[in-house]
Amino acid sequence: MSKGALGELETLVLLAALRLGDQAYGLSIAEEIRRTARRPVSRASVYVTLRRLEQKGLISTWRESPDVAPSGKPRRFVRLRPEGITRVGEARRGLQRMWSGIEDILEEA
Amino acid sequence: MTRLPKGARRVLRMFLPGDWREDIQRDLEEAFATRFASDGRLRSTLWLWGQVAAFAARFVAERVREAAGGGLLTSTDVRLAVRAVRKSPGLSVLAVASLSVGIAMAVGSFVLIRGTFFMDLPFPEGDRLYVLEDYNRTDAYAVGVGPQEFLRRRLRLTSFEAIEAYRSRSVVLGDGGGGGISVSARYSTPGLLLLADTPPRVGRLPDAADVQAGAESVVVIPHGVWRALGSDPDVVGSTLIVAGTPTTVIGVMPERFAFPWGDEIWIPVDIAAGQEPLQVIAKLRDGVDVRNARAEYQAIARPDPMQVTPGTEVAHEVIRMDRSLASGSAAQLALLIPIAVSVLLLGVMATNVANLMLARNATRAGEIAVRSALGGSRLRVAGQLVLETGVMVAVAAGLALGLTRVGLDAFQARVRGLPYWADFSINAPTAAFIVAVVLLTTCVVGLLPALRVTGGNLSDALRDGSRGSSGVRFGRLTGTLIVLEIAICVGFLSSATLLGRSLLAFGFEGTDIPGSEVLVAQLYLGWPDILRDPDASLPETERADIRAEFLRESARKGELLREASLTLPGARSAVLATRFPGNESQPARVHVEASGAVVVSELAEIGEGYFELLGARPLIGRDFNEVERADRLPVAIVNEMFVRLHLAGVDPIGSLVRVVRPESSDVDAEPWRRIVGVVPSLGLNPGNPANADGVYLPLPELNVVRLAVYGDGNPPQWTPRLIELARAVDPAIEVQWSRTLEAQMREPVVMFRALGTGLLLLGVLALVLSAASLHALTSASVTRRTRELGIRQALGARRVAIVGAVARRTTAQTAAGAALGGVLALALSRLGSIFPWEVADGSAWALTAVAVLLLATNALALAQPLHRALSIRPADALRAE
Repeated sequence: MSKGALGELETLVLLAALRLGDQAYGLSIAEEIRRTARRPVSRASVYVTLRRLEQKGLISTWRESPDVAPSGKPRRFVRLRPEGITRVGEARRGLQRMWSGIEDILEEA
Repeated sequence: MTRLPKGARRVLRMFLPGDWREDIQRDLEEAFATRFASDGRLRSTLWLWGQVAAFAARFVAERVREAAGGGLLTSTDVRLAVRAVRKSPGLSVLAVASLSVGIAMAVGSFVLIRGTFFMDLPFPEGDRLYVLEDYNRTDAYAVGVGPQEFLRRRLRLTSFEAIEAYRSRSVVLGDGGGGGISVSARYSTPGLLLLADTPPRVGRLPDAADVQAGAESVVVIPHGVWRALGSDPDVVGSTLIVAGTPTTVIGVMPERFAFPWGDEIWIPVDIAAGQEPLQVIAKLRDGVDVRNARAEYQAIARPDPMQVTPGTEVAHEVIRMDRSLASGSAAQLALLIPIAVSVLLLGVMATNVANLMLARNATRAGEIAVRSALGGSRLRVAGQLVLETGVMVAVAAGLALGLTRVGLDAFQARVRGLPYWADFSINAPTAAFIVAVVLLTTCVVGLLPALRVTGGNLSDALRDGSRGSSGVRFGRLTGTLIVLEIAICVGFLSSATLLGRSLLAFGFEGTDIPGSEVLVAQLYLGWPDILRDPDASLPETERADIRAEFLRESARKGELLREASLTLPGARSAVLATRFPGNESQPARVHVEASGAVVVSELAEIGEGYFELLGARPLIGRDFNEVERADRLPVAIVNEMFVRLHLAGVDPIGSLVRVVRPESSDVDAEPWRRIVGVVPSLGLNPGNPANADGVYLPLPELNVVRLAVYGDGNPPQWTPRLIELARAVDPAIEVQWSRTLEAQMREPVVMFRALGTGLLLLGVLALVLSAASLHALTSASVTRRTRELGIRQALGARRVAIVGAVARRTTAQTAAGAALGGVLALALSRLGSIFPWEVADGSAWALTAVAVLLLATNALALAQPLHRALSIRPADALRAE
């Protein structure tokens, strides 16, 4: 894997954040991965990945207003930066290239 | 939203990065609230702690990954660490000394436990060998199985593919030339050695043909005996004289081979022809569950009427041979003591060093802040501090290995009865354990103080550093460590003091006879075949008559042997009795007529000359006279402690007691006995002199009796001759064991005496180390508070107030630690029940002594920092600002 390549969990977290839109935060991302990718993932791993993605500049975070937070404690939401979206797209294209030509084999499996 | 418990928040604060901590905590609270509503408090709390642990572990791993990416350790780091260690030689030496002792104890106990209890037998399929044992449910003593009952069981048991038996006796082994050595012999079924599945070095193993009628007597000898006999290469086929019988050597076993328990010779015999009780070892059939085998054994086995008194509750057990030591005897219980001690000790040492590190780190807060300001991450700076500790731990581990080796060698040399497969070498699992201990110790004593000292505010630390004080405050963690340390110290020292005191009190008064000049031997005469056969249909009266006649004859033979033993070179006197000082306790219920009480007291049944042999004489009254002995009249002699405890205010001479033996079912059949004399305590309960009340009765007719011979020859060398004398009186007399009175008095305590000495030394060491720790922390505290103390002085604070300000917290911690230590000491004193004697009562005495010692040591430790605090000049302290 090249230095800038996304790891599998990083890709999943970015995808989940994209799917959730402005409702993406740690817990909801973990839940989305569990529900949609049907992959058990620990919350701790999701938060570690979010922090790493933020340090890489692929996501930005923002806190909701305390006034609208149900508990009075604002959630920290996540959104993808343009660089993040580009990297997810690159990951998708790379995977698609790898998938191509082996559909027959996989259908037989 | 449900707030997270305080502890969880603390853990998160410690391990999570500041930029995400609050958000993660918030989200966890949200998830926790949902769980709490659906799963209830217990399950949700368990879930939460699982999450907290996962977060802590995941983020620590992430930090290590980040740091490793940037090069966590460089040679410069190591050089700096070594330099830092050398810079504070006093502290480093203290830390290394503490850690060496702590690690050595931990490693030593690991090797002991593993080497004794978890080593497999050193031959193929050793894990399928089991001891089939019967024991008395009441006192847990093993009881033998007679040949008839053994053969009956062997015929019926199907869970085992081989069941073999043996009995042991001391024999003289000679080459026919007049000389000889005393060895222990296993007279066994021919297949005993086949269980070990080990070929002989030369020759062959016994087989069934060796025990057929008319077959010549054969023997297999161990390597050690072969060497003792001159290492004759043609030994197989030669003849040795074993217990007077010419016996052909058919094999020599390999070096270090011993089976089942020790280094003996093996003689195959027709086991049915013998009389003595047998020990049984069996090989479990492949694929059979031992639980089924045990159930089958318990269903088939029945108490051997010739081995146990009717009515005795006997348990039948199947125990894996290499694990059989884990149950029961005092030696194994004694092995647990070093383990408990080492755990305590490691706690003291680790706490102590963590405190010292914290104190030292506190004085380096300025340096640490500069490192951070220059771009060092917290992990990087903390890593450097941990590395410094690591250097010390590594040195300590090296020393500890040496200490462990020396200690284990001494242990192996001094402690008898260890299984021959015990392996105390430092092998791969031990090395892994050492690495784990070193890493864990480094983390505890390095990481915690490092995280603590690097967690402060950077600008505060820089400012504090510039004025010569430290920004690090000793918070609850340090306080807890100190309290814990003092608690362990107090608990440890009190226990050591109690044990030491008990050991000092061990012994018996009233005699000055040198125990090394008395040989004690146990004689066993067995039972006639007719009584041994459980299927023999004898009327009860006839059985009783045969039994009485046999016992009468046994007593006569015992007396003949006693007289014969006076021919031993240098022998002066010889006495028969059921017990001598140092032998196991034989309690009996005693009815005291004067008070109407029934008490439990020690019982000894003694032959003529007992008191003279022990160098004692009656304090009041007299010894039994000839008529009383011959006619076994209802008389008794009691000891001084018996009078003190049970006949206070009564003239003992002429008082009446009724002695009921444990096996006696008919109390009324026992006569009232008139007391004719009072003697000193004489070691009836040497471990617990305060509870050594005892009664002496004339020796009855018995088939098991102990013979003591006193003289100025060389008692240990009398054994072979004594065995020959016994065989001359009757070949059926078995000398089951022999040892000097001194050895049997010393044996139960030799290990405890060493342990007591060790405990005292280590307790003192722990005290010194804890005092050093308190000194270092108070000293660091004075440094930190230099400015505050200067201002106080400037404002006219009195010296008492300054001392109070500095020492208040330390004193409170010492008091709290001492109180907790008192509780710990009381808990530890319960351990006294595992000793073969009662630990001296005197908890209050020991605690007071330790408390005084602790206060005195702490006062010394605080003297220098307090002096420094009082010497601060306000102008200097304020100028630094």
